[in-house]
Amino acid sequence: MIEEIQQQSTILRSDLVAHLSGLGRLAVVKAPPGSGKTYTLIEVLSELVTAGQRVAVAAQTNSQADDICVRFAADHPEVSTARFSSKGSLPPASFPTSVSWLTATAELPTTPGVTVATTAKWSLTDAGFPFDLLAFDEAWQLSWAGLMQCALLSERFLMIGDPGQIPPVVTIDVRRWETSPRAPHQAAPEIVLAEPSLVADRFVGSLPGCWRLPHEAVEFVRPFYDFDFHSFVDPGARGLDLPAGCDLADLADGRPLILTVPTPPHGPPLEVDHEVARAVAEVAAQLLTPGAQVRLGSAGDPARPLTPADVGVSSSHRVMNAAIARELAVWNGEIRVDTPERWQGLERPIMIVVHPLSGVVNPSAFDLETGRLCVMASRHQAGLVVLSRDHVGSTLADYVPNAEQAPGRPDVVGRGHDAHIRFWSSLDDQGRVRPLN
Amino acid sequence: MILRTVAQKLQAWDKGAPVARYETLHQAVVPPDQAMVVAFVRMAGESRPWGVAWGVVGAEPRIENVPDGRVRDDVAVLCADFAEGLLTHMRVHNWTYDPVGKSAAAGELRQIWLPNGQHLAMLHQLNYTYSQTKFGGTNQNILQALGRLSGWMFRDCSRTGHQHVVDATRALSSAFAFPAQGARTAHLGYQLAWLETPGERDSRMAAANGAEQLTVSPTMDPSVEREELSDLVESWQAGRREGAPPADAEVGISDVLEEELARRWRLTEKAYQLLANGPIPVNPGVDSLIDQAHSEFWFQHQRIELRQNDPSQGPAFIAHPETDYHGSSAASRYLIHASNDEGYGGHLIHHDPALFSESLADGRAFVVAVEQVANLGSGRSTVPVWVVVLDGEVPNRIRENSRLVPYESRGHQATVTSISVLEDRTELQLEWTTRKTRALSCGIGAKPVDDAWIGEEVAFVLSDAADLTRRRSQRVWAAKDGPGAWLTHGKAPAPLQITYEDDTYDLLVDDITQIAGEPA
Repeated sequence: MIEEIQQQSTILRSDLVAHLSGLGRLAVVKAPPGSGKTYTLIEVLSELVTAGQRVAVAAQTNSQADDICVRFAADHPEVSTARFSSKGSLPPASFPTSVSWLTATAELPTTPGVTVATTAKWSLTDAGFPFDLLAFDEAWQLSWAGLMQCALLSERFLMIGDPGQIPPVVTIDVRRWETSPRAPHQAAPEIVLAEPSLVADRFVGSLPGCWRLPHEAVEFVRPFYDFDFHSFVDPGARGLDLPAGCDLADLADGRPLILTVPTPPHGPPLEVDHEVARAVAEVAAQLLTPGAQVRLGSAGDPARPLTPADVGVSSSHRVMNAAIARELAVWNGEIRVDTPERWQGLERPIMIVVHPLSGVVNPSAFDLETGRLCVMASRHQAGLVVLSRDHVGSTLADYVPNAEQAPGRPDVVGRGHDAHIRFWSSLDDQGRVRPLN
Repeated sequence: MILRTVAQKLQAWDKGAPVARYETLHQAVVPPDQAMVVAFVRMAGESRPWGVAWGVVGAEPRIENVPDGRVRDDVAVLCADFAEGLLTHMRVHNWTYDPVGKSAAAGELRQIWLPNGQHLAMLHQLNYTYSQTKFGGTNQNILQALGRLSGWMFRDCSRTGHQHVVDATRALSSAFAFPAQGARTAHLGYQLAWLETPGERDSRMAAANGAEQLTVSPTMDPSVEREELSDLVESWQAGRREGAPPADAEVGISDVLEEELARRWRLTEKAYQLLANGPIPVNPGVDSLIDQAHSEFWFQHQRIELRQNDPSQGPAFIAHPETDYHGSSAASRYLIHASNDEGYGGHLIHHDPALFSESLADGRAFVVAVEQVANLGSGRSTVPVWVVVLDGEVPNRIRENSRLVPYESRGHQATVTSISVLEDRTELQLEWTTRKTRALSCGIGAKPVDDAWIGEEVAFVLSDAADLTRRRSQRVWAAKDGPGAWLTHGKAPAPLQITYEDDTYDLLVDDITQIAGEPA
């Protein structure tokens, strides 16, 4: 099975190179979490550069842009790589010296190679003469308005990203544009994929497998995606082995675990749920008990002791994260606590997350958007613990979506509700939802 | 519902009266003669107005109506009358000798006050009906102008910080916390009764309960239509079919509608008076929002009335009532709205301690202790750098490269160059980037390089990238000639037909046809 998946990946890469080396002007690649999208991007672009192309890469954050450069330098030192950054900025410590650090438009390379910058930087750059290709990493975080600003850079586009992630942040009233054929706030690949007139131009593919998650965790993440994918990891290879008698010993099998905290009769607390914050710290303490061993490799690889830096924590709200950080102060900040937005693109062996609907008894469209839960449920390599008030199962069961979307638009809230229910009930059916002792 | 909102509702309950939500009003309140109050009524199930009341605060309103809101030509005459008053009041080009120019002063702002969001939606209906109508005879031009102005006002209301149109109910909700459920405080009469009734909580509550029995929406109470108007309208229509509509029916209808319109108009005028003459001052930062509003009015309405193209703002086209079909017009507008939203808080927060407290709780503002001050500049250059300490347990949204503005010293700015998370605190290194050699107007009032800051506590507010976002909106138009524009710009036209009951129709021409020309 794994060989078959690898073969599919290889075919996808060669098809992409063929499309973008020929007359193809547009390619979109859907990637499940931890499927090697940046690897795919780097491999495809390296071949195109070798064939003489001059490529611009747009990342969504500076750290993503730096990471791409580091990986080009390590995996393809033969590819001429440049990092294009803001005026006055300096390369971070340990940035590879083989990658040029450019801050002026006049310095942009005119010979074959890769130049990496953020979308925000590219969007305000007049490159002089166009690149052969503009490639977007984490493309589902790119809004259509963001893409439009880059039309001066290239005639051809490659978009690769995870459709299950959180869509571009929208802070304003966008009802005016909900029925626009190309809504400026929507993820650019979604518009490209929905546009019938682009069928002849676009190449669409998806990466077939997930390297990050334990084999047993993949089935719980699939409901968030509209395409199928498999696990590259051997069954039973990943998990957390805790000392005998530990309440959380079933994390050894790699499947996620939902631990519930009773909902008070008068309803859950507003904003900050201190009891759940304390529960996060209790779970972290149980996981970091002496003797805890994490298995991260393939079947038969040795386990190693779990350290605080192996654990990550996420909840949707900053004030809640601040309360959790206070409870975790004993680990001196080694356990990263952040919002799912900030966790995108990152991973940890073990994740402890607060369910985005915990404490939400009347879910809104914002609450039912699945990107947050999908990100939270797909950052771990060996074990995932979800903490939640115990009302969530019944809240989801009682909720009736209103289909309030604009005419002609998909029922995103209804789909989100369905994905939430499937995630919760599939774990419940397997006995993975239980009260926290 | 956030904790602060709950706490304020409880305070209001305890006090027995609404309490101010902030220390300032976040909305301009213009002098009475610059504030026109407008109220509508319409027949149930109809989108066109049945009657309109309009007039500036302090003067008697003009109240006009038609016997039957379904008769298109009568409604057009009514709307043409209203259009004359509205276009003149808003100083629209071609309809006044004194139009608002490109660089209007803050004091020149004209406002329209409406009772609530449903009256605001009537502007959208007028936009749909009239912006490109081919009916109306001699009134066609003024009706089209009314449609265009109504459309701009309706669209502008979704822009954070807009100032030309005031939804009175929303303005009161923004200014006061009421000891009641949110759904009930969406009624203007209910709000005003809580605010204006003398006495204790019980008497105010009783008055509010009574006030909410009378509708404020453009659609009237069904019992009024059924019991007071239905027979009269039927009788008028029967006479009309025979060529002689009865005058007494017309008078009877008019009396009922006038009473309904006058009540809505008076309530809105009261809301204006309450905010204009009340104890909460207007935030001085609102002047910047008025400048933005004038700019929007010029570029999105006045310029288009004059058909003046602008390379950075796009061609002068009439926006479609439904959405922006053209990719550039949609993205450009979206980015302008995003820019205004990003910058909104920064204009107001330095003048409103309650808003600052809210930002503290939200992690958008924070207080640090200054530990070190250094000048990393060489020669004549000054590069002040501070090392400051933040309580690691309070929420914050600070990231490396975040831009910070000292609270009450807008204009100064520093960038976070490094963050170190320690056991009980977070250490930040800040580099001052603007007004580096000028004294701050907060705290001890020293220059950023002054060692006297060591040991002081300084409050900061997260800055925004509103200017950059605005530049991006212009970039959208500039990119239309780029090699990638085949993908990003343009879309086949999608004309919209409005068919009327007599099988005649209007065809709305969308923005793509106007910007890109007729399809080949």
